[in-house]
Amino acid sequence: MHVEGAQRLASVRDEPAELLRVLAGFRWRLGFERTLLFGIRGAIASALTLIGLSVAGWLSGAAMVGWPAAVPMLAALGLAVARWPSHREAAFSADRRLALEERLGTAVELAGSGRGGRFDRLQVQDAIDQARSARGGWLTEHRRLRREAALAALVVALAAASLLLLPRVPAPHVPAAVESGLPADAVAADVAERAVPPEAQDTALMNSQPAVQSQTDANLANRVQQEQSEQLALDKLSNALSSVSAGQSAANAIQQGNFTAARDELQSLGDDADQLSDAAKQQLAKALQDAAASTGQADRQLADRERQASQALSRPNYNDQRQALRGLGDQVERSGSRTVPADQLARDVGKLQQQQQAANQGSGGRGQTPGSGLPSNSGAAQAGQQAGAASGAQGGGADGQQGGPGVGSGTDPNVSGDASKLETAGQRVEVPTRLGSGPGVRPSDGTEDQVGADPSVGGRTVAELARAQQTGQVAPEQNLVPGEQRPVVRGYFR
Amino acid sequence: MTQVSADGRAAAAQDIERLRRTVQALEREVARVIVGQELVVRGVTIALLAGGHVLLEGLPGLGKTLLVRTIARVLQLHYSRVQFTPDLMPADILGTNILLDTAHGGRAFEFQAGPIFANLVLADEINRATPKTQSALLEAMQEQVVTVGTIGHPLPRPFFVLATQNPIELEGTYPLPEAELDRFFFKLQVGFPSRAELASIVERTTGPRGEPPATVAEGSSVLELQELAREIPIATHVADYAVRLVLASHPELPEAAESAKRNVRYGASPRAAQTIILGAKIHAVLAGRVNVAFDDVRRVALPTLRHRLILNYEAEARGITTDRVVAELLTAVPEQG
Repeated sequence: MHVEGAQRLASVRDEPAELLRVLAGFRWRLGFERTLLFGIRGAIASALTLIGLSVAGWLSGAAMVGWPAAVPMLAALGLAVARWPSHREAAFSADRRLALEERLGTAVELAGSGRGGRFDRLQVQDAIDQARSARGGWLTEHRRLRREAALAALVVALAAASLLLLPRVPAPHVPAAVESGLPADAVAADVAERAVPPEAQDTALMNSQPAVQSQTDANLANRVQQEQSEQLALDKLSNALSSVSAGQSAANAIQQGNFTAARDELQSLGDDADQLSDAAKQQLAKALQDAAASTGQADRQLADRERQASQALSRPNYNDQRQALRGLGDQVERSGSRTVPADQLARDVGKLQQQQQAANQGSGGRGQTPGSGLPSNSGAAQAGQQAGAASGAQGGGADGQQGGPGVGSGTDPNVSGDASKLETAGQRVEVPTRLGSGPGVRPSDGTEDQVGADPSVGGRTVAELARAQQTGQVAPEQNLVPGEQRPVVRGYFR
Repeated sequence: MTQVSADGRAAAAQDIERLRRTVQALEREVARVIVGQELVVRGVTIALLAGGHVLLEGLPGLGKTLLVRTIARVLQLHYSRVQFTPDLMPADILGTNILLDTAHGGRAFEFQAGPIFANLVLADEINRATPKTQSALLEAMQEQVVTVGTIGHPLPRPFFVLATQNPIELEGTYPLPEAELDRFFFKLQVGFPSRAELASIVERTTGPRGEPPATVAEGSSVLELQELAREIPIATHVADYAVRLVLASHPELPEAAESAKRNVRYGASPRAAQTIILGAKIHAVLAGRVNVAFDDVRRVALPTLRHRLILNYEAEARGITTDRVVAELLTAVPEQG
């Protein structure tokens, strides 16, 4: 339509042709101004999009995709070009902004109509003269353009700041379930759990000891069982990782309780996933799958991560493997932060045994109450007892009917049944031991570790203790006799 | 071709220049007699060049009659004055057929023209006559013909009616019917002079008599200038603005402005749109342009519309004037529709 109008204008001679030239200048200037205005608005929209993308990337931890931010800018510029001003538009704008008193608008109409009125040519010439004398003025509506330009500068600065600063700010943890598709309640539980720092959790656990003592045996047993299950889950993962040499360092870090290092090692393993052979990947995938299966509900999120990592390792996609192992590393750190220290776990187990022992004594019988089976006090048996405690000692202690591998014997008259021997020293001694669930079964090769590796019972502490006892490096904190009772024990044996 | 074009353009420029000079001379000569009242003089001039009639409203003694007389003299127009009174009859204005003896001894009716047969008629205190007499002017003002019996008698050209009315003496007056009001091109309000103007008036009218105003044009040139003014081009979007202004004054129309919906009973007639555009054309020429601008439309909108809007009872009760409504219309209606 613009071209047609221009041709009609051009077909008339003299003044209209001159008018066309004048208007062409105004069209370019108006078009440039409009492009500038649209560009500014597009820059605002693009900057806002960029901010949104960078924040989303920061929150999700995913790599930011920047190209959608260019779409608003390109669309704005395209719109500006598509809406390039016509002669008539340019004339109206010039009339309005340069105070030409509708001269150009009238001239365009007269030139286009070709009606040949008495004053038409005079009017067109007058419009040309006036427009030329007023062309020094810039068509732009300065105030609006300045305001929008200032806004654009502000938003662009914000976008730049978000790009530069956000990567340096630690991103908030995203619940693993968001990626793994866990139910919302699991996510909420995870978030609520993470809301309390590990130190605070430990402190709270410490502070709650007196209260725990007054709780029922069942409550304490449940808690101990939960703690040991979580430890076991991490042990399972450690074992799985140690199935390949590349994962050995991560396995060691888990075993040492250094979960931050374990996360880093797993991330490093993820980065180097393309260096692993297919056989190693398959082996690790299978081990992780087994670990996930055995972990089960003890640490559902960890199991999910293990399963994801296993699936990713089974596929040839490097990015998936890298992401999955990174996610597993993050989850290991989170799960590790929830676990209680080994000595705390040992104290909990000891208290549980004391309570059960006291209950047995109160009942005057031996092995008459379910869950009262007590283990021997030997070192090896203790290891088994620790694992046995998780399953809750079943059956009567005297009959030794409890089941479960790696657990101390159900009968120990020195401890559980006949208290008179202890009384010969004039003092009653209570040595906390761990509950077992049946006769102790020692591994054929004599290592205690494999006892603790039984999937049905907890045992990281057992493994550590056994290893430490073999090497003679028993830290005082790992002595299963509570500190305040050690002098009594020593006195008794002397 | 270019030479022809340049010649045509030069001739047009000369015509425009002649029109401007004539108006400038007219206003200059009138200013020698009438102190101040420039807007009234400009309004009357525009109406004259557009071939319209003017209703002047103002207090007695403000120079309304003197203005009309001066214009008649400056333009060498035949001038007559009719003092409207309640007992004035249509025939007293238009004329009548009287029975006269013929040269052959017979008798025949002969039309005796009334005072309306003049180029410039001053209808002084027009609202004092009865509606019947006021209505006698309708045909003359619109058709420029007076029909007596079955014979129409054309009025001399140019023909202008300049009516005056007193806004404060309402007792014994008859408001002009809307049909007649609509026939007035402009309604101009003659305000009281300022202190300096009043001092100048006193000085001029109480001292030695000065030279009478000179003639600057004659009736035929006025007619020619009228035709010239009509050829001033106006862009469609500017004419559309005038149309939208008139439409906005009609409360029943969707284009009505909020002020019109609240205050107006009847809006302006189509004649108002014609008047605005014609008046704007002349205003544009007098402003040095060969095209009509939005500003020209705004300038002539008030004298065009103020007597064509009929307010409702609520607006009258609240003391709202048509001037205020027109001002609100000008604010409400955007230039670009």
